[in-house]
Amino acid sequence: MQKPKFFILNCSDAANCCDKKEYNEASIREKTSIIIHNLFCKKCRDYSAKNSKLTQLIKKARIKACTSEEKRDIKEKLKQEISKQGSSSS
Amino acid sequence: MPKHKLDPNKWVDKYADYLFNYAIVRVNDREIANDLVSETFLAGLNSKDNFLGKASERTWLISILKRKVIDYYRRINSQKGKAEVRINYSDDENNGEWLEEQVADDFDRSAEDEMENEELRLAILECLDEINPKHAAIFKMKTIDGADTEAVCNEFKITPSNLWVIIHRARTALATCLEKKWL
Repeated sequence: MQKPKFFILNCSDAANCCDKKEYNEASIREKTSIIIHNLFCKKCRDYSAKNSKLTQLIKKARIKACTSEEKRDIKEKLKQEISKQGSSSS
Repeated sequence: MPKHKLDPNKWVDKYADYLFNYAIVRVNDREIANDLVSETFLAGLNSKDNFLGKASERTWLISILKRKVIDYYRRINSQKGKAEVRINYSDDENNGEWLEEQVADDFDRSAEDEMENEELRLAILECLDEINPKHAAIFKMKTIDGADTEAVCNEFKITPSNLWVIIHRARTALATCLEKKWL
């Protein structure tokens, strides 16, 4: 993405900044640019609202993922079992 | 109606998170939840000939997991007396403290909240199931595990701008899907 000139963004850059903002990775310049862009652009305003709502929902759900090691363990077990079955049936 | 088929090789990637989330709210312990999930997969594998193809793979696995959770509760409750409230302060000094210990945690959430959260959690995971699996994996790592951009890029060997495009697509798809399922 190019650096915005005078805080003016096009819509796809605005969407990009908006996504970054949800992960707290947008710079102050980018944040300001979104605010200015959103003043004029209804579509991006709606997108920003939707996007932050999504973040809230995900936070609220408190999804707990298995770690990749735990998954690997389960995979390992399953693989052993599959190969065992394959050898017994043939 | 199309017949569903089982594909055990993809189970872990596709359903481990979903089943794990289902289990952990019920047993409240990571290790036990993990054990239950792997037991479920093994049981599914052993009885895959009984699968009629009427339900989807996930529904079928969840029904096995349900049984496993019930079995787990039976097992721990057969050790008698665990569920009783015990008052075993014998001396006068400590008398009365047991009441304070029985007071509920002051968590600011009710049973309804918890239930709603669980439905939301499963709805999100279901939606993640429907989008491109690679995008879903990247989105999960970034959003749910909270990994930083650099780590995700290294893991999947993509550039940061690539990552943001994928995140954007995943977010839009997820939002649309959740609007249908949840709101």
